[in-house]
Amino acid sequence: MTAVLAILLDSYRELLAKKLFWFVLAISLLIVVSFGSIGFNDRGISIAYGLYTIENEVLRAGSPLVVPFMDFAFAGVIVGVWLGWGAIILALVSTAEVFPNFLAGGAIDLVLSKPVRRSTVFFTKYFGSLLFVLLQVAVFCIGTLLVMRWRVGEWRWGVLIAVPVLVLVFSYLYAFMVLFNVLTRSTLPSLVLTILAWLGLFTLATTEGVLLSQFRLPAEVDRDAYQKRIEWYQQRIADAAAQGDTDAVARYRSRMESDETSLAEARKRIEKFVPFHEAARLTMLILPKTASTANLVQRRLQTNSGMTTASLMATLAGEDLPPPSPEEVETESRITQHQRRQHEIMRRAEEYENSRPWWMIIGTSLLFEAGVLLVACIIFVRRDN
Amino acid sequence: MTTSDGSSSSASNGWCIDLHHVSKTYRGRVRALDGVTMQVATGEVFGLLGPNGAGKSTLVKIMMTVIRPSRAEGRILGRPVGDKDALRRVGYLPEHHRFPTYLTGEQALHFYAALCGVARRDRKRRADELLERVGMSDWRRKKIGGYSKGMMQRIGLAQALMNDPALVVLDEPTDGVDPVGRKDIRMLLSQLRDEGRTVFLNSHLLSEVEMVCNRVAILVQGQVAMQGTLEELTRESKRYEIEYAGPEFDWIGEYEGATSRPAAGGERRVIALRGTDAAAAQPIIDRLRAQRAVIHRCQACGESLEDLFIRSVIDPATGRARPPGAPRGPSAPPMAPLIHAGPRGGAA
Repeated sequence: MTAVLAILLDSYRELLAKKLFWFVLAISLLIVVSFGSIGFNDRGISIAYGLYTIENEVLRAGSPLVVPFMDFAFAGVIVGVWLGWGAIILALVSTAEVFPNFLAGGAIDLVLSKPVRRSTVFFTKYFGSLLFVLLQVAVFCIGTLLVMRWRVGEWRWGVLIAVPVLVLVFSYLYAFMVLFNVLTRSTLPSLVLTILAWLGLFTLATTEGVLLSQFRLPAEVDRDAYQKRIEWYQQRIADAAAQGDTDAVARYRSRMESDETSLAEARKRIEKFVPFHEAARLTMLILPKTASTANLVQRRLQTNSGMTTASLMATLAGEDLPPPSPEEVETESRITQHQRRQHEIMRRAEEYENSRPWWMIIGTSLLFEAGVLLVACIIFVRRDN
Repeated sequence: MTTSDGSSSSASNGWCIDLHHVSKTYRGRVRALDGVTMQVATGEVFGLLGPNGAGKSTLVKIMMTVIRPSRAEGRILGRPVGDKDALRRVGYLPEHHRFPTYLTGEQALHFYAALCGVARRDRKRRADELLERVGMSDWRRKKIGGYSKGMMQRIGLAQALMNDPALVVLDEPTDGVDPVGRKDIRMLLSQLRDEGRTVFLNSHLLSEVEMVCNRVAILVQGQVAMQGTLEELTRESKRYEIEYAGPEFDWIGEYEGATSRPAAGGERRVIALRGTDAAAAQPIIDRLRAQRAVIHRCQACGESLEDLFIRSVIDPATGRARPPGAPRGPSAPPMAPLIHAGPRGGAA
């Protein structure tokens, strides 16, 4: 235990000695300060600590949308962009040389000649390097928590979930880095290969997302809409036939036939795209899911506020309307129909993402990470230094 | 001295280090060690010598579990080679060591001692003592990144002693150290021996090894060419020489162990007597003077460690230094040991 604590303390000191650590921390604090500059008054959203006000009917002091909006700003924008990408890239750059320096001749000799198992040394050093992100995100989230308390008047403890979640995301990538480190013992190739691996994962996840939101879900939304309308037309045809209104029967039948054709096309599209999406989904199932893991922060905050991003966006855009009845569809403009369709696709995409259990996302990712680390550890343990 | 677990540090038949058949073949079939058998007695300063590429560092690293041997038998501090627990009482200073530059000297000592499982209270006490002992007290709170090579070497030595080791393995400890520092290190080695610790010294500096080591081993091409005390290793070469100007006398053969040969590059001749007993030479000197031979030199001679080293390294067949690494081939014949002696005078 003494040895493990010593390696962790050494990792902590090593991180503090890096200028990049303080640079990233400074940027994080700057972002927290900027986040804190967003507030709400009677007229709308105040920015730059009240210097400017963006007038908004819906989003203003006392509005129930304030909390979901701030949650979204934190989880969607700050976590999604800065912590999920920017800070992690800088963390990878900063920690890229930890293992190569550790493995360098003369340095590793001193450690391996001590009565500590190599696997213990390896894993402790690995976890020690995660301290970089742990400290950065912890400071950031505590700052955000204080800002939220100040701006929305309540403790949004959910933001702290970002700490373990982002450490997890970083750990998936750092496992690749460590594997490349022990294979190449070089900083730059490891960093490049890790970023390529990350981009590979991102591309696969994006492919799955595109197949879902641009092909499968639109086809499913269309299918459901046409089915509903066909049922409605069938009812109307029956009613019109009962009343002996042959013109109405003919009109409804004509429209129904058109919708039936569209329904058949939608079904064909579903049949065409579902296998591709399923293949992408199954591939992603075994790989580390960086985006889905980072998205857990948003999911957690949404659960607390009870409002999804789709409904928040729709409300803010003044389009939070209940699904239209076929009569309304008959009279709605094409633009409104298109907006409804888009919102429905977005809602279903969010629903689909949220339907994946968190333990499945983390569990499968950790399983893959464990496999990568195991390979790296075996190489480290068996290698002559 | 006993180890922390109570077992005797010299549990293996009186040896602190008792290695047998240590071999190492790296990937690419580079054979670095080929059946090394070596013993180091408890409480002695043992010097490991050899030319570049002889396998010295490989052997040290195998002992320190840094490298996995292809084959190794024997024990270190009574435990099998490769046993991590034995390292609790082993101090090690590697060649070309690299200490973390972001640590202060004191932090580095604490770090490496903690890896050995030394309790915090003991670390504090040992660090204070050792920093004073290696003359680094004033630099204890300065970052290692600002240290000179000699200062790092001093910190390295202190680091190797933090766990109160029974065995101290030092790989080129005087590398980069100025003459005063080298003298300090020699004194430290002597102190360690006086404290009952065993010191295993890997060094290129023959003069230093000669000054501080009780026993030496010379490793050539991954095999032990010589092993023993300096006295044992040079005993055969010890002689008493009389250089004179005059003819060759046939009565030389009357004296046991006496030989005659021409002196290098001249008219003179040299009579050599086995051993260094001056009294045995007196009758010969008397006869030479009686026959009016002019005596130019009377001197006890013998091989120095450097002579032994050169003799081990030079291939008698070619007259050139043997190439680095063990001889290639699936089962290279072991090098015929020139001398292989035990730690206290008896042949091993």
